[in-house]
Amino acid sequence: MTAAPQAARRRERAAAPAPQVPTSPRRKRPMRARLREDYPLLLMCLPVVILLAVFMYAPMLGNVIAWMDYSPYVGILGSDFVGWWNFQRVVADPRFWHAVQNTLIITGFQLVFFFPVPIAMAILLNSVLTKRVRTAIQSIVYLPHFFSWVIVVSIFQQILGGAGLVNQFLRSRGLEAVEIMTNPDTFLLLITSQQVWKDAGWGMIVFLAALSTVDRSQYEAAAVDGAGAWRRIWHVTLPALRPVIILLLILRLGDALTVGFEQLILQRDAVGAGAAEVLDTFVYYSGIVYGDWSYAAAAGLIKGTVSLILVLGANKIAHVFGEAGVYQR
Amino acid sequence: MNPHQRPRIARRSFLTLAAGSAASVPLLAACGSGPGGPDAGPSGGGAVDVDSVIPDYIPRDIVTPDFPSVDGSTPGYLSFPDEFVASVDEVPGRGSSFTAMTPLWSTVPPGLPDNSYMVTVNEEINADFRFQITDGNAYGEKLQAVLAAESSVPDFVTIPSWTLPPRFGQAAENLFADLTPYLAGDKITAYPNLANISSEAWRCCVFDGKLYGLPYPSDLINSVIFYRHDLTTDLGIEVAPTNAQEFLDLALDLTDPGANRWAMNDMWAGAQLMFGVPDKWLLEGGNLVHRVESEAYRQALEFQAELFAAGVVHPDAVAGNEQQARQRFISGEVVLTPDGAGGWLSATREAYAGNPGYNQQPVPAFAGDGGTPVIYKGTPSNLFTFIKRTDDTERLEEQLALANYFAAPFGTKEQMLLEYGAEGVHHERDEANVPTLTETGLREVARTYTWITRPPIVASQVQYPSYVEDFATWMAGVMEYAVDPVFYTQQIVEPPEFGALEQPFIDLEMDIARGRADISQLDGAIENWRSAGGEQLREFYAEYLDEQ
Repeated sequence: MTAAPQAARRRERAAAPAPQVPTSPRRKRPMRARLREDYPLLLMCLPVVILLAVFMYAPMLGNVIAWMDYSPYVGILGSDFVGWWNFQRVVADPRFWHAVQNTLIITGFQLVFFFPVPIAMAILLNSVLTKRVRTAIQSIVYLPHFFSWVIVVSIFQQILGGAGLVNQFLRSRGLEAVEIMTNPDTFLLLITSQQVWKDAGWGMIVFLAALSTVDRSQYEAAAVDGAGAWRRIWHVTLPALRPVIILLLILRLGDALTVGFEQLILQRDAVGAGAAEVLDTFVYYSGIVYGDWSYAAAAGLIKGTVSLILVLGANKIAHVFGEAGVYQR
Repeated sequence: MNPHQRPRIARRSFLTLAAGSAASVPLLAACGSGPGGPDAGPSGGGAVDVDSVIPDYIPRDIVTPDFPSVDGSTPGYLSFPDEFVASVDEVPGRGSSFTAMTPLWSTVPPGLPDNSYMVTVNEEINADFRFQITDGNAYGEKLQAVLAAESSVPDFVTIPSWTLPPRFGQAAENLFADLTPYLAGDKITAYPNLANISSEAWRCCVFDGKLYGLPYPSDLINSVIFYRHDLTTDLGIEVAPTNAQEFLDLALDLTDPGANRWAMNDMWAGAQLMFGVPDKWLLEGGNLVHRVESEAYRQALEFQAELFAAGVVHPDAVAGNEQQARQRFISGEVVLTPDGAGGWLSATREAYAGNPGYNQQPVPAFAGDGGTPVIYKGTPSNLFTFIKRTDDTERLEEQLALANYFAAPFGTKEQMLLEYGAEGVHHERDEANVPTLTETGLREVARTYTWITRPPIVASQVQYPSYVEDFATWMAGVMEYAVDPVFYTQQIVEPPEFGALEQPFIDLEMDIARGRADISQLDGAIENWRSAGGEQLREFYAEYLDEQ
């Protein structure tokens, strides 16, 4: 779908009701008419709008503390405005940049090594013909998604930790214990494999849904034309998945600066801040633990702004390549 | 230019703008009372003589201890009195309800209405106490969030001295009741059990020249390295190191990963104890030296790294799991652990039911270099409880009367009820009047009411063989090494911008211990600390020093 025909269609739609509108109160009538027509839809939206307003937009006003020397004990009204001072401190803080660097490294690594896993799994599972086997596998790989990170990290610790099953076994054979949970050098691998274990099955759902819409006859036709399994994946399966992949990729980019807060804070002490300090833990420590709320708010705002730019940029690029993206203009 | 000068101008102009609105009234009030602000400096605390705001000390002699206090050590009782006396004449509560936020370092007991201990005590004191119990290890973080919204602040808030949040001066002034008018000097006579608490403990509760907290009298020696005497006896290993090297050798002897046994938990507190690292400041030739700058700190860190490198630290402790530290010690997965002196009793109590042979003992005091040990005294009130500010004088007096009840000393009916619950339900007494917690008692009785305040600390738990004698004689013995830290019993509220100054060291301590950073990185960190505000902090404290 390209942008041009869409725009044309929108023009058509905008123009369509015009002839029906009587001339005199030009603006009011269509509004009222449209309200009468659409009020059930608007009513249905209302709960979500209220939800967003109360839990998202209203708290956002609190961001004003980023420009203050805020103390919770005197409140927003009693705290002093300090202009851009907090932002200057954040930008000048090497610990902040260190956290940014760690965040980007983790995001980049997971984009390459985590993001394709659910796609591959979905394709693989889609080719399993027995329905019962497929449902069984699906249930098994979905399950870990419903464990909290505390449990996931504990399970890993119990199995791979210094006093865990693997190392107990190694020691009982007189072998050297392996350091998996406390090694900052392999921390990236550790957290990515935890994520794969926990969420890859869940991430598969969307792709499976997209695959179920593919017309089976396309595969048959391709097979008749002599296409092998790989070529069928390349020419039939992947094109069917492409809009979903791009959509999720853009959303992932928007989250690029958010990497598993719980997962990391639980393991921060095990590998140290050097490997595990990311933007979210940085904000948590400076804000909640050390009580520098304004500073943390400024760091959080910087993060939010960059994320917004990333989403808008990625969406733009998607449009350029003729994809639908997250939203259409 | 100091960026903190700008805000003040901004605040003035903001005030003039807001002066017309009703919202500005509390604002102006907050500004008007001078000493509250952290900028107030020493004059805030110094303008008022601390001794004039603390209560008079009127000791009560209920029972004479078998092991009297030596230089402030904790006294011990080898028997329970034949008759428990009543120390409070009338029921303290008037039927009001109170919420209280308290820590706990052991299993959280069931809450109301399923906790018959709390039901009984609430009835007895005629007040409906609801406790919000939080894991002590995560207490500081929860506290920050609770204090940040006034509406979420409970009627009583217990705050450990080591998790006092930044800007606490403001918090005290805006959130908590000033108790000076109710308790200072001879006002205390209305609360005889509170008057029985030492002046040192009360002095710790004075913030910015006003009495805000209720003290929690604590052991003066609070940092100890414990070992499992029963296990080392079985192994035939004697625990009496006289320097750091011998301690390391001992640890190597004790470690046997094949048997799922390591020598120790994270020994950071222990290493600081061996090398005499001060809590905050050290006075060298009249100058203040911060702990991170001290030679002792460096030595302790180096030794800590040696311990980790030697593989004698339990892998879960290496992975930073502190929540399970006591559990590892009780189960025997580690043989040595640092803990507070109070940990002796709470760990024993937890372990004894399942293992009557359980016996933990303190490693005899020694210095890392083999010389004379230096042990800095712990704060005489290790925690405080603050009462939420209220205009209701009657309610406040009710709260203080309840605190007076909670401070009932050893040998009283009130203390028995608070410590052991009801006879026949939560505890049974033998012919010598010694209480033993029943199963219900073990499940339901946990420190709750007596976080709010408690009587002067004594060792009286004769249920655990030789505990009282061991504890009291050990502490009396180590008092000869006890040293007052600089600013002992003095509460100094630091300006908030210094709040995160020590943060890099917390990470560095863990990194150096685990070999992720080299000890040479300490120099850079100290340099950063000095330029990022450490020198200002030193000047800030030096002013208090001049006053002494």
